[in-house]
Amino acid sequence: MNRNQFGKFYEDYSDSIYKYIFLLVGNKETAEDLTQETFYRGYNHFDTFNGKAQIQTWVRKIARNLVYDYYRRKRIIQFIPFISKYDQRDKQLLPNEIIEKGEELVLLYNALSKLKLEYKEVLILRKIEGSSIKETAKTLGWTEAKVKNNTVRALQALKKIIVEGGDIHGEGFRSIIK
Amino acid sequence: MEKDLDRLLNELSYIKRDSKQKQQSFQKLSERIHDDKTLGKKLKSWKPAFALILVGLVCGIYLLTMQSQPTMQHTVRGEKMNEIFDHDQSYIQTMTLSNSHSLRSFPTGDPS
Repeated sequence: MNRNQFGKFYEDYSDSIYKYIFLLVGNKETAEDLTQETFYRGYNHFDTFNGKAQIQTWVRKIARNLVYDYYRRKRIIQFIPFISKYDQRDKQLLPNEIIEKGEELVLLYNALSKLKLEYKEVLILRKIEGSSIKETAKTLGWTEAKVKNNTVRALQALKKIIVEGGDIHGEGFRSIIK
Repeated sequence: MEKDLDRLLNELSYIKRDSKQKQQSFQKLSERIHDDKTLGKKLKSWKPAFALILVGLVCGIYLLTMQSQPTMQHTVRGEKMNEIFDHDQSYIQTMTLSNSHSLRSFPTGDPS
């Protein structure tokens, strides 16, 4: 892959990969770093892409692995007092992109971030990115039946978080669940 | 509710990425790839030198650890040592002090 081809490859897929990572990790800088790492790895291992799946699915799989690595590292870091305090502060920052979209979306974003990673992933791919069941199954390495089941369960869990409220008390959000 | 939720989830897909940050990220990525390539080329050109150093190191260690033939001086010194041991043999014996546990007990057979 030459420089021009890589530029096009990055231009075509980086936004969607960034969005996917951003919704999973909930931090702009981390999402940008992980997106960069995804494309770096994609470039270095491009010869291993066999063309069986769509290139976007392949890149998304790399991104997914990186997100899992990130969470694994984060779990280890939790045991280090100073870094874990810093990390908690960082988590409280809400991205401007979400705030600009209005209260409803902020609250939905908060509810989404409370879901477990498995549910978050399937909702992002199926409902936000609009991927097909087949594509989602390939990306996540699940069966199509598991994708269907987990989508339903994830939506139920999301609704439960919204209804139970937790720390969600916005008027705007209540209007959508009535 | 279902439709509203679907609509809102779909709206999350319109989150825009900071174009400036995207540009910077691409720039960094390109630099990273370019640096890797130049580093790879440099390493390739240094490969024979590394191999030569390694071979030199192995040969050096081999030469240092190789046993030398005993010289006349070594032989004389060895023989003298044997003579001393033979002479003092009766005084060299195992003394198990730990069994006595007492400062009053001393080994017998003073060589003087």
